[in-house]
Amino acid sequence: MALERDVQLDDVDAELAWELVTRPEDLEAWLGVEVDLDAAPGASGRVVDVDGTVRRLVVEQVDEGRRLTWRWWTEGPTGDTEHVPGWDASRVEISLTPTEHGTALRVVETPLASAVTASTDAAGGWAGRLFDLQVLGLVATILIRA
Amino acid sequence: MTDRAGRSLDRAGPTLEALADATRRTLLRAVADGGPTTATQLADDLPITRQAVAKQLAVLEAAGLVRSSRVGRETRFSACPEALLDVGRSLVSAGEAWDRRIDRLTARARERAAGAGSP
Repeated sequence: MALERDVQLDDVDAELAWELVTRPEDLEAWLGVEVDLDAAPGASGRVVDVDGTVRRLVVEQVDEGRRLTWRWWTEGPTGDTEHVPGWDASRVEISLTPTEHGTALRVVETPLASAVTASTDAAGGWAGRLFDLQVLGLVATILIRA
Repeated sequence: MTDRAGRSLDRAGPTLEALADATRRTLLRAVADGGPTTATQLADDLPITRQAVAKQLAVLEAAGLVRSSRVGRETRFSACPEALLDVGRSLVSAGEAWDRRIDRLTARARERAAGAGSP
């Protein structure tokens, strides 16, 4: 069950689009009010959202000009820089595709299996999982009945 | 800040993870359909062993999706819609957060494309 958003950025070429998603000054104009994100695999960072929520992040994949992924999680009470089992995370994937008039940007945020649940489920772990429509159907059915 | 749990998709992880398994979904649906019911009854009604029913009910209970209560010598399970509502709220608020980020991104892109804020 991933969140997906698509937006067309008119008159934005590939180079500018990449800056918008990687340059701190640009990121602080939209991703959060304070953004520490270094587009290098394995780099740790931090995002303060407009509502004050603090998230820690680790950059995962960097395909310059095309794709950037990171996993992030809400900062725990100890201000943890490493992910703490039991505090759950999600993965954000941003992909850029050149179009006739600019760049198409797609964001996908996928919740990750919690470390706690994963330990009881051999198929779990940190791999991101997409959840199918059956889940939504089930949720709707039970909520309607409730 | 006060609504942090409801705003972050990351906190929905355990519930979504519990829902990611087809057997657990079947069980949850059966519990929701049948009202308070026992693991034995569920194993009789479904093509799932008593042992697997017990194991998966424990996962659903840990995720807050079912709750158990003792009635005499029986343990009865019932569905908890609140956990699903929380997931629904998390998905909605995480989606709204991205909508706002994308609005700001679009505005920034327009500025930059027009030549403002460049390096």
